[in-house]
Parts: sequence; structure tokens; C-alpha cells
Amino acid sequence: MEEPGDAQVVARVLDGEVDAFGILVRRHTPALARYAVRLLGSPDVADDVLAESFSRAYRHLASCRDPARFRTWVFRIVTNRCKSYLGRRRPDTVSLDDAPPAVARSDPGLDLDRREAMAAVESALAELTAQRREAFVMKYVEGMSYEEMAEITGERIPTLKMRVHRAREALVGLLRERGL
Amino acid sequence: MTGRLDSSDRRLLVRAVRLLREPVAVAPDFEARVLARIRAEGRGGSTALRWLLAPLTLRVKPVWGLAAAAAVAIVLLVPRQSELTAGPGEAVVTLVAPFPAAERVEVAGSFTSWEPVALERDPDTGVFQGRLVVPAGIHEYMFVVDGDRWVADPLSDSYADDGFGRLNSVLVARVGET
Repeated sequence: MEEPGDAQVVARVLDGEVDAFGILVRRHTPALARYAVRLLGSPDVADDVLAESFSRAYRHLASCRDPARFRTWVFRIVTNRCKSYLGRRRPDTVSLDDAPPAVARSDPGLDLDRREAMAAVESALAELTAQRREAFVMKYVEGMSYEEMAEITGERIPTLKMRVHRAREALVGLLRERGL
Repeated sequence: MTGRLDSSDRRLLVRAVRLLREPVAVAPDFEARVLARIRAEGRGGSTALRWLLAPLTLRVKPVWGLAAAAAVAIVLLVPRQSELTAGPGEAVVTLVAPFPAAERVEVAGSFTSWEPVALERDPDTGVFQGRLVVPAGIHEYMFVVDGDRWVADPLSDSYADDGFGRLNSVLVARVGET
């Protein structure tokens, strides 16, 4: 049987079928979890932020003006929640640089070489500024178009292109420093 | 800024991206936790954020005179008893944003967990406005114009770096100063 589209699921939820929201959670969690982990550097924090984001998405679902594009809408919520978390993080909390590599928790089956490479990549990513990291992850990891990125962030496309470009250059330098 | 990446840089980047695209583990009970949470909270919205989009009596900062009353301001005002009442540790604030050419204006801030919440257009002035109850304290916010332009309040008393290269407006909401 064909899976219902996001717009159909959103309509069911708004009609009171709370459990249907689980379809949206299952469908979008893999990409959103990866996105949040890459931005925040911690699987535990990402879990909290994602759960909070879905809760908010549910509460404000009626304001999702284009339910067929629920994915973009919920990415925007997660982006804002990540931004809020990073903005209010106090200096005495764990920084991205200090956070354990997400891969250590997320995929213990990786072999040592790949694990070390992943740790190096994550630590290089964590050294980017928040806005460059966000732009890079959206573009290269999640494969978003610049139009979608602009819709999510509210930034102009030329600004996003510049951030991606600079993130890419900085990341290459940081990866080289780590011997990759 | 250097120009294009050479082939070895590109290979390095491709390797890094391939690793970053690896799926991350999600707790097996994640979906169940989310559903339990939304069932518990319902869809009634945050109890800390209650909107009343009724006609307003405003006390406007005398910065631009009457014309500025139609310009952007954040205005704190005394709520009428029948309208909106701040609970303990809360304040009632009114947001006013004059973007006459805009089709819609929202506010997103720390008091909305950065979720855009729609303001109502006053049919007489074209000014967008909304009243809300927020926890007392210092909040940051921005206006979202037509869904894609994030604009700081130009008449805010102060601004704060948002860490993403932009400035947020700062609102100080004091208990009793509503």
C-alpha cells in the first residue's frame, strides 16, 4: 500500500488522530537526527532538541501553511531549536570541541580507521563557526537546495553560497591539519 | 579567499561528507517518547504564551512622534483586566511592527522558543501587532516578514549577537511593568 504523503498525515493529525503524528516522526527522524547531531556535536543534546522540536511541531501544526512541505517546516523548527540551544549555552557547559565524538555512540560497529576518521571530521566540523557549520551540513550532508536553505534560515541565497564556500575551504584546511 | 579546490581537496571533502552522511543512532524509544509527550501536553500551546489580538491601547516610545507610533516599536502596556493577565513571574507585552507592504509578520524569540507566531494586522493603521504573556526576564526576538525576512526591531533599546552573524532585539520584561 502506498505510504500517505505528509499533507495527508498532517490532515489526519489535525483531525485528532494523534498517533498519525508518529508517521511523521518515523519518516523524518533519521535526517533530522543526523542534522541535529552534526550541528550540536552531541547525540544526547540532539535527542533532547529533536524531541522538543517534534513537540513544538505538533503544537503548532495548524500553522504549517504548506503541509506537503512538512519536511522543510520541521527542519526550520529544528534549526531554530539548535540555534536557541547554541545561543543559550553557558561557557561552563560542554562545548562542541569537548563533546564526545557522536560516532562513538552512534555506530560502535565502525572499524578503528573509520572511527578515527569520523572523529577527526566531526572535530573539524565543530571548529567551524555555527553559521558556516549549519550551511555546510544543510548543503552537503542533507543535500538541500539553496532555495530550501533560504526558506529554513531566512537568509539570502548569495549569503548562504558564501557561507558554504567558506565552510568548505575552512573544513579542508582543518582536515589537512588532522592528517586526513 | 582562495579559488577552486584542487582534486586532492575535493577527494578529502568527498570522504568527509561521506562520513558525515552516515546515519546516526536514534534511541529505540524516541518515537514513543515523543508521542507520550505530545499526548501529555496536548495542542493547546504553551501556557506561557497567550495571545490576545484585540484592539489595543498603546503607550508608544516617543521616538518618532506619532508617525513612529505606526513605525516599529516594542511597547509595554497596562492590560485591561478583561483581556490578558500576567501570572506570577510573568509580564504582558505588546509587539508592534509596521510593515505596511508585508502580507504577514510574525515574531520569533526566546519566549516562543524561536517559533514564528503570527501578529495581527490592525486594519486602521496597517501595523502588525500582538499581545502576549511572557515569563519575566530578558528575551531576544526578531520579526519574520512574509515568512523569509528576519528583521531586528530597529527601535529596540538594545541588541544581542545571535552567534549567527545577526543581531537580535532584546526585550526586558519586568513583573508588574506591563
